[in-house]
Amino acid sequence: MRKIFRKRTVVYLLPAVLLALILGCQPDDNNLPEASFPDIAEVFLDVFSPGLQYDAFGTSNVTAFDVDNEVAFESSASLRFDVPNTSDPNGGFAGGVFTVEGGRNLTNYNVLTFYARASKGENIDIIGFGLTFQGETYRTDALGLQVGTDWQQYYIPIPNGAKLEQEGGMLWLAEAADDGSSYQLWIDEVKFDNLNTIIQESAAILEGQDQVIPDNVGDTFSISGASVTYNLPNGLLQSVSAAPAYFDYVSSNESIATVDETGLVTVVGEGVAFITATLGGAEVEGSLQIGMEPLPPSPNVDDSNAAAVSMPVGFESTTLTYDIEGFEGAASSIITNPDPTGINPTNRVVSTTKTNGSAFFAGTLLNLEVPIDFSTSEIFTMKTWSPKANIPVRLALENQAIGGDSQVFIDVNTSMTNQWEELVFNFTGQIDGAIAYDRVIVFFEFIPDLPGDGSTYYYDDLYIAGSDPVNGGGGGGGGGNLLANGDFEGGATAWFGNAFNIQCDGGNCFNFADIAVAGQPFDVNLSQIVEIVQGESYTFTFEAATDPGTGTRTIIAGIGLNEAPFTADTEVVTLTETLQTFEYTFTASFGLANSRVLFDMGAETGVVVIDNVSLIQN
Amino acid sequence: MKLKLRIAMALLCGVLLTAFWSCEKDDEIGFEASELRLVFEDNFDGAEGASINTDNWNFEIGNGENGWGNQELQYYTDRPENVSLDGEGNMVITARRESFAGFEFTSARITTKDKFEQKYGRWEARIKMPGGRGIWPAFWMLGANIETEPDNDPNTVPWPFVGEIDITELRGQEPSTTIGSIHGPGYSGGGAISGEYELEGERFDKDFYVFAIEWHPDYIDFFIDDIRFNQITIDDLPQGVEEWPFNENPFFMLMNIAVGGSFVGFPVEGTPFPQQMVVDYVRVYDIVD
Repeated sequence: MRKIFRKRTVVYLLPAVLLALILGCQPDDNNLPEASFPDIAEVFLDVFSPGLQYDAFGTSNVTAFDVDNEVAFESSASLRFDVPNTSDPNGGFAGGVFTVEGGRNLTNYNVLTFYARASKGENIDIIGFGLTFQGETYRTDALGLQVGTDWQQYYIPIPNGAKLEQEGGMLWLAEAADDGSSYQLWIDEVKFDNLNTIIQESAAILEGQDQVIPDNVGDTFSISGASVTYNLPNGLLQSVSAAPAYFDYVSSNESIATVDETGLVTVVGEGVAFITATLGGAEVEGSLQIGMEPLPPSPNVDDSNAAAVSMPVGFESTTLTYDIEGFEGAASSIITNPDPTGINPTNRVVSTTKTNGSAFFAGTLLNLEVPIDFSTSEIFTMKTWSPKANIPVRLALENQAIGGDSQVFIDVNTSMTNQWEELVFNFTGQIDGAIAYDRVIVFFEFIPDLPGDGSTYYYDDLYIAGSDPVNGGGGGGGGGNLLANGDFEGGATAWFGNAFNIQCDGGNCFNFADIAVAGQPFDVNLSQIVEIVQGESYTFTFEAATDPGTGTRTIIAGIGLNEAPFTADTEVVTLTETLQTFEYTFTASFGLANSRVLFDMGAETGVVVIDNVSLIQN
Repeated sequence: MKLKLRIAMALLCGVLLTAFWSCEKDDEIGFEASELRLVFEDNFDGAEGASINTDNWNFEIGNGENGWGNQELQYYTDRPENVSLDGEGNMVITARRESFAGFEFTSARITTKDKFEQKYGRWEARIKMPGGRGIWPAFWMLGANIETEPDNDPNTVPWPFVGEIDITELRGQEPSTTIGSIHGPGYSGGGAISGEYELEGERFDKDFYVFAIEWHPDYIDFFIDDIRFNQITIDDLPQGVEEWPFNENPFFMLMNIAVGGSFVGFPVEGTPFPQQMVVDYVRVYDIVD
């Protein structure tokens, strides 16, 4: 038996941190000739398989690992990890890497299997393969694998075995005790296998999201967040996090963005391109879009009735105080639109003059009373009027309290002279969700060391693409239906209760219930969660009917708490076989987020049809 | 004579079965012994999303009494989301994890009751099964004279007196094993007379398999593809039990995916959804000896 235990001092991040990272993407092999590496399946059965060696992580408890000749799964020896107390001064976790020098050809296998048990129920933080001290091109990990006190078999599927022509990383793990106290973990019968009883269910890159980045030439972007989910032989799902190099990538336009085999995207031109991936020939979820299609001109902002200086800003209010300040030699103020033509016919705009000899970074800041809401998009648009074309306009956003350290900015050139045009500042990917951006700074002709020449510029309509251009000032009703899927056309969403039963007829869907036995009214119920504010007035509207067989019957309809004491404001509604529209106004006698609209129909037998339900705050 | 030879082969096979749970393919002579005459066929041809042919099939709706007597969790619907054609010559029954009518899961259950019923014959379907913990698909048969609600009609009898033949059912957490069973008075529910067949290193939810029975007077043979893996005869009834309700009345077919229930246990967070039972065809033949 050949055993090589070594301690290697390597920079090793704590497991929790490692989870989020796929480190460098150096290929393990360097264009070696066609592989003829051994295809040995066994990693550890009773002894270390040929060439296998173990290296502990330098920051781990390096003596945690040993071969155990007493405890084993149907054999004479197992791998044992004495997982230390997390407070152990010699290292608070157990972990290391089993590798083979030169590597093995694993192309005939689709899974790494092993048995494991522990001295107490635990979750192994990370366990997988494909990690060596030279690289981790094909690293594959299972996270939080639960282990009990009996031997159980575990599976870590190989996302794409065809890629593993030379893989040195046979097994690795990093584990800190869940509750901080030491325990023993045994692993045995570790081998690669080819099982037809493992079915791939889904695969994803970028956490399955369709992401967008700007088309800034020269930028690079590493595809991450790749995972594959399998249906294991026991009928349970298991996901593994997979190195991006398992996937095959394609760019829809190589002149705009290229992508290499490790998932590294490089922006090489302006325009729109899509990066998509396949795994073993099958499409996977998630994509990366580089650049944006040109947006239609944004609407004119109307903030004449706004309650605060908040986005969108049109400078139209005569009652608000817009906190505008020109600095470093810029003279700025709100004036009547000097050129109410073209795309900007509105009344009031900002005028800013870069006085003679002012700093090149002379500009205008606007302090907002409410931070910018980027939930609709991270694309900021603004209308400008400039006496010069092809000069850069810098738009910067920052937090008033933090100042310049929080600043993000984008430069966009003007393209017209002496007329209104719209500039698009795409902050996608730049916005830090932890920062409240409540200051907008605008610089015209932002060219280093070029002093001001007395030119006057105008700007207006600060707007987040896709948001509501009318700034109503918040608060109050807003007039929209507070309910989702009120017309029941959206399938089984939003509504609940044992009376929830959508039927569709002739293209219209509605809720249909037929009560067979009379009981308490609430025995048969249809509800939808909606926040109700005490003392506010609500208008509740719906259509309802029964069927000819029932003739007439009543139901109870209204609003109420969705938890004890189930306080409610309701009406008794008499239904006939003719569809009628019912409208009631309630002033809420209660208030909670966990409230609902409700239809109680269990007190009488017969059919209840309900459609087009709306609740509007008055 | 040939038929007798075939029975003899079957008995021999049945003995081996207890040791290995698998049988080699029947002797060729046995298969040629009888002629199959097609009497019912549905190939599920049609446009994607189209309904199945209601000349052949009924939909059963709801959750029955106490989850169809088995504490099942699903609500059966006739929506295309739960049962429809796929446009590629298959019917798909889909079990979903969604809130509907007060239940957490939806699925579908279809039957040929009052539309196609017959006694004896070869009943077969080519199916790709679903697979996942707590998932319970089945292709099965009930006596056509079943009493669904208490009545005084002497012509209808309740389960299990009416008889049930399970051509296949499987537990989703054991996706390599199919179970063929009969239920009758004295041998129903957990006491059913069953035989299992386990695929070696494959799963019933990965590919299509032909599940079939050949139902004769006094015995029923169970098949996976061309492999007869079990035979249940009137002589297999438990001691003291005599009723064999399989020689009297015609039966109808059912296909469904149940979710949860006493046979299979409940699905867990790690159970894959949606689950699909993809049926290429259903055929019934008379066996002409």
